[in-house]
Amino acid sequence: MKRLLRLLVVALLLPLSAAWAQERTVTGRVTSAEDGSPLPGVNVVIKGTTVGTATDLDGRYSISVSQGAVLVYSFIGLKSQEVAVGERASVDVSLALDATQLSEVVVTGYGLQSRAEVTGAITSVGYKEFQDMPLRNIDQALQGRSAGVNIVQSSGTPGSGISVNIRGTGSLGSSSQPLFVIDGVPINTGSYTAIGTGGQLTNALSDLNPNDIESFEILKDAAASAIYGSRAANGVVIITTKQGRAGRTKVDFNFYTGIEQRQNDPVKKINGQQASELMLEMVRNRYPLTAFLGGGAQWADHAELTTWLFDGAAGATNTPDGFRAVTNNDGVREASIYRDPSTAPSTDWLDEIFRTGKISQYDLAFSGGTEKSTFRFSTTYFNQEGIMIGSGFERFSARINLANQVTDHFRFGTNVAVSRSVAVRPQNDNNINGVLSTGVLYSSDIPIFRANGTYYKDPGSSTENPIAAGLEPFFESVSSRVIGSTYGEVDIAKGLKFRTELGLDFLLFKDDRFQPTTTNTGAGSNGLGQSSSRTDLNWVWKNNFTYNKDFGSDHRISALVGFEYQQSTFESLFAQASVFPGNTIRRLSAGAVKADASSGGSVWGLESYLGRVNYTFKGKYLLSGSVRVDGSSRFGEDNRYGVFPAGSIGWRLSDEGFMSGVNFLSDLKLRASYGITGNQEIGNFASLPLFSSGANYIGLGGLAPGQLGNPSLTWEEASILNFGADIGLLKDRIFLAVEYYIKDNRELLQNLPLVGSSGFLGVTQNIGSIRNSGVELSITTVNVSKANFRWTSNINLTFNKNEVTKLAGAPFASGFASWVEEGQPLGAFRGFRVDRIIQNETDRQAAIAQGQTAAQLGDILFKDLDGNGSLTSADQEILGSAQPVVFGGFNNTLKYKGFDATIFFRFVSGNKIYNNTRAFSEGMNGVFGQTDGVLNRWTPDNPSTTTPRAVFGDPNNNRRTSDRWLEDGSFLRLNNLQVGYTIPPSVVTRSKVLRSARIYVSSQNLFTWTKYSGFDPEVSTFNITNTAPGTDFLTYPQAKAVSVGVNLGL
Amino acid sequence: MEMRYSNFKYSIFVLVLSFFVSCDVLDQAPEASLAPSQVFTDATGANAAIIGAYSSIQSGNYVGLRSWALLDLYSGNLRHTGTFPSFAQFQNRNILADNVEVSNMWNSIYSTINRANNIIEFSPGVNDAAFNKDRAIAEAKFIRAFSYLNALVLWGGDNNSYTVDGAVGIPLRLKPTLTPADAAPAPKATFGEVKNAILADLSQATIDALPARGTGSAIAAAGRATKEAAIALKAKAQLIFGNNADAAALAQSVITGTGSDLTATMSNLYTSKNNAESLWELQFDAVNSNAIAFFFYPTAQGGRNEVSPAAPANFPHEANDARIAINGPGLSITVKYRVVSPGTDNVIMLRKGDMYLTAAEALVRQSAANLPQGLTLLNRVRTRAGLPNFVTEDAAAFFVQLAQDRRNELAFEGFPNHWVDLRRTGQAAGLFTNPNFVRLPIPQREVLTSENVITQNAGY
Repeated sequence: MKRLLRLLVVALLLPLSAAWAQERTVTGRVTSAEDGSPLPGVNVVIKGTTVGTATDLDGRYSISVSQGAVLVYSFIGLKSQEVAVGERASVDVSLALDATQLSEVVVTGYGLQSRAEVTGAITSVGYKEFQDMPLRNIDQALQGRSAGVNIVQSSGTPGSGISVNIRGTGSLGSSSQPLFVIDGVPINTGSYTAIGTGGQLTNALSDLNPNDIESFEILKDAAASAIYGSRAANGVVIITTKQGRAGRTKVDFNFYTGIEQRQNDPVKKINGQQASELMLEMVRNRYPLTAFLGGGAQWADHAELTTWLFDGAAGATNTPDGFRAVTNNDGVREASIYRDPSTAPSTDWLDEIFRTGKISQYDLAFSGGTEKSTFRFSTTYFNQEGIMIGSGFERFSARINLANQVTDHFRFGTNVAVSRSVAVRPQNDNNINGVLSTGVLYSSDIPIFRANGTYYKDPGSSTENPIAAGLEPFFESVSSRVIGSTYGEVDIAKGLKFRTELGLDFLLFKDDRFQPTTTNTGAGSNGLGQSSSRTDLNWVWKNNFTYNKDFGSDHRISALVGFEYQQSTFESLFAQASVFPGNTIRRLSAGAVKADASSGGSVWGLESYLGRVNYTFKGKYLLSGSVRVDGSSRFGEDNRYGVFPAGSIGWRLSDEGFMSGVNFLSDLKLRASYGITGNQEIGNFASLPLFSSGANYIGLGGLAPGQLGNPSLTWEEASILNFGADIGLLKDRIFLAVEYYIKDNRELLQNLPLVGSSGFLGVTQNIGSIRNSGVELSITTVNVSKANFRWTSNINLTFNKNEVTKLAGAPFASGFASWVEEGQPLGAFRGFRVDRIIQNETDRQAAIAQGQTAAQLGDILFKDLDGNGSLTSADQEILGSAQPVVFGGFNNTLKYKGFDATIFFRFVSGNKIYNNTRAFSEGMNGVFGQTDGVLNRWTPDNPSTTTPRAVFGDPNNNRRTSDRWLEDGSFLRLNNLQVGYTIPPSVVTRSKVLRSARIYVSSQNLFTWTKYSGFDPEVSTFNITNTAPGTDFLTYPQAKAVSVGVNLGL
Repeated sequence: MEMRYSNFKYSIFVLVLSFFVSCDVLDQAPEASLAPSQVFTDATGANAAIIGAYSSIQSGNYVGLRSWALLDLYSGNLRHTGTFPSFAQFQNRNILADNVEVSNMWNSIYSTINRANNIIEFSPGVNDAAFNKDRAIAEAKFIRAFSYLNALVLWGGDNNSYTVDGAVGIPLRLKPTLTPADAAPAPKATFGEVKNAILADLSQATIDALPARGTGSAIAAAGRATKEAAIALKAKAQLIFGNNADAAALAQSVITGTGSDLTATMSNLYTSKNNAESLWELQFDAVNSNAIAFFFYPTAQGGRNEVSPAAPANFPHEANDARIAINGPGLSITVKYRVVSPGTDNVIMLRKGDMYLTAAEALVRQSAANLPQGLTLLNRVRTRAGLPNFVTEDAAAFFVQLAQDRRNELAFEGFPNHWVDLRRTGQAAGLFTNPNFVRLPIPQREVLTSENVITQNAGY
């Protein structure tokens, strides 16, 4: 549970240091039922009195009792026990974890609250749910754990971004990612890279070490999140790190190592022989033998013409049989090969670029302390090789968390983490120099190397050789990071505390890329180097008063008032050079031509005032209200301060007398909340009309209109209405949480599209609206609870409906096939509809009549949707949506004696994926490598009804955006399967060294069940995107991993 | 239980501190941009705005590649050897309204026009003796005229010529867009209205306010508008508009005017910069480069092999034509763009060779009696290309030969010359099943955003 919280609460409750005169003294020791370790700080109270004490560092206590006394042992997060002392002089007790939800203490924004009294929608995810999973990023730990939180790992690229949407996407042009707060510090998130790879960006959250995290709390409704004001519209994720605990110093060492491989995916390329046949067929279907010659001349056959087109032939010579291509006689794309494709060379590029990668993590932590001060030091090293050549990730991190009680009424503490992570980044996605993109789109009839050992570059195509793309460029992104905070807290009067806290997040991000002359990009420029450095210093100073008081036994009030400042300063440098003296020196200083050098900087600031009151009447009527006022530098002078209020009520029905007879119902709480939150993530100076620099010419600096201003620009707003119920059944064996919400995001900052003829493409305005509404369900059950066997399950389900309710201007396209239109969800796909493959002359005439003038047998007849007899761009419609109907997670934890197992599934259902990869790999229009779908292509002998004919250049545009490329993206994934064995304490302690020991085997993504034909159904080539999710385009797929590990306690 | 709050003083201290150390975090200003009011205040700012307008023409969506290369693909001077489906649509002569290249070209050209409009609007108000207002306005009008001419020949005009005033035009915007309200869509003006605006911008006043080119290769303001460049641009425009008398007179005045004649060896025009023959070259250098050669070059040489000169059968030259080696029919590259990295090739926009052919054609179109004069001018260009004199007494045969020479002479230069020639001579319509396809589609985005105030061109 939450050791930090325990300590804090204990620290608050501890001043029970008076002595009482009693008849006799009882001593004893309180230990944990879980691992036998001593429990300090446990309250030991004589039942029916306020007399009590607390255990010391060794878990020992001593208390004077009278005859017949009953002692109550209690500790937050553990099950209380009552023990009749009887005649004993010594009473030892072991306390078990309290599995019921009610006793949990929840971290809320700026405070703590008992789960029983929470009136907002908050999900907690403790470290036990994700420990020992091979996690790259902390956001991975949350995948599938919480209803209402859709986390899409858009690719398997090491160190790349993950999209986190709480209750649906609620923005168009601004960020829709939640605010992350770690130990009270709002941190920088998102991507800091300045060098594009084609799709995937970097992720500032990869700098955080998942092993340091005690718990996540996800604030979903306004009652929970509005205290974060103008940054809460997308929800808030509060991260609490592990703290030391008073007691003997513990050393924990965790290690795992394993392998990662590509999942069994259905993408199979055709081989070199099949590719040669296909090329010849494409050319034959497009060109007569007289093509390109003129004057009645003819090619000897189509094989010669194909060679001339694709082999980079130096020309053609006339022979008695007709023109023949001048061949370079290297055994590739010779006319003789086209005449007999079985002689073609063949390379399995996917096999060449994928590999088995190693993944491992070493984690060492020291923790402990005294009653006055506690500490936890940890260091972790994580290394992942990546399943594709030219990719990898490593992270080193260290953390120090300290807390010190200076006097009875003054405490301070500090939490500091430093990290350095290095991502070796492959190019991919929409990039002809990518590794996977070329692995798919490089033709199989090209060998890896020429006879002289150089890379064989496809003479007929602009795509890079996949091996060169993977091995030749140097591309590293290094993120160095310090996140820390220091606080002081004083008791001013009984129940009244003041806390001041200074936090900072300093990030230094550096990209370096060098493309040597062995790459296409580097060949033309004699080596091309780029270097970028970005720093972001974000500091916050928070000052809060809290007041907690009980008035009589019926009324309890807790209140918070505070103010704070925050500022974020961003600096960037970018330089590019070319013409290097060879490929060995990669630093820009070696480049003869310094092609680009620029620096930038930007600052934003927030000034905030906040307050909150929680009121509880008789422990069962709950009332809460909060307000935050944020001033932001991002908005115009006139519109600078925003007010974000929220209120909520709760009714603990199960505590009512009239419910006492309902035995099966152990707990019932009804909740309702409403509030308004904001989103200020819109760029720092979007409200100002600006002339931009950089429009240079003939060596002179130029200025040009950059953006139109909008002085009334203001934050985006979300109003969230939430109804919830927490239901415990059968003594909380079954615990059910249900939420219903309507989240209206309004005033969405949108680039109001302007006609391009105005000289501008848009102006930022507060226009759009999006509604997300849905139901969240979370069921936790204790299926079996026996002495030796315990099985618990959690299933969470989210049904979210997303709808764009208002747009500025006309609907607009996004991504490759995505479409944003009022009344449709974000992520809708729009395109043409395939009617049928043209099988006969009647069909062909129909196609020609509607404007498909190039149509031949085997081409696609598209539907004339508006029925006006002419196929135009208006004949497109919504084809489907990337929004799932339902998604969730299903976790099982089993314990049998020393064995434990975790079986965790995730699922997504009802969403569509636009498979743009197939639009190229089944396009049959050029020299691109093709996948095996083309083997079913239409020919006169194989009148396929699904795949059109192969024809060079695709004159009928069979490849156009259509339902042909739209696929069902539903999947069920065995996210984590883990089996562990804890060596019995009796055996372990015999070693005199070890405190505890566990070994385990863990797997990730072992199986995925899906109909999707691409590499991975969990995909987004645009990484984190509001308007174009669910598009696959040559994206690095996620790996499956198997690892073995140990957890040792000393 | 008694509680002593001995630390009360600490809390008071922190409290007092926090109220007095108030942080001003809300007043922030951008660091790489200026407010518009800071630009047209003195010569430095206003001159920077002119540089900004030239810079706009350099965009890869404008003369930096697409505004002529895509049309060379459309006309058949180029063939598509790369991967962009949007380029393939040009090669296939089947362009959809949502073609992203069409949209980007349109936006880029109008962005240039808006930059010019700012200069024309605000230069009169700049009070700085160091600022040459007249020249500034003339340069802006030259840029605006060039941009409107580019847009008009692509999106406007009659199916078979550019001489019908009532034919399809394009939106005509002569004031800068300063506020979102200014950006309201303007419906298409007629072809004639846009034509008149172009000619008005190239008025005698404009020509007079520009500096002379200077002689030889000692060019005043290389890369910027000169008197000669303005006259040449006007001659080009008048030939397109069918005002042959004006076109002939203007082109001849450039030929006989200051500056030297045709460069003796044609390839020198491309292997060295700012030759005497050239009247306006868009300047590129290592830090302000283009991707033109990159789009031509094969991948093994660092290019992306997107386009290549058309096959000899589709891009015929006479035997021994020196321009074969320059244009490179059937090869993957052209001598006109040679530097893949860092992309320093200049783009020739206007040159005397073009004026010889313009004058030759305009004279003979004016009257068949001018045929001998026309032949002399044409043969000057042919001689330079290593070809024998062309001899005919038939004006029709002359026009056929002249079209052939114009194509071979001006391919891949900074204006869609061959495409415009096909259109103005009525040969383009026959390339399509629907003759309306001679005009590019108005970008779908423009039609949707304007809610049909700007109507789609027929056929799309």
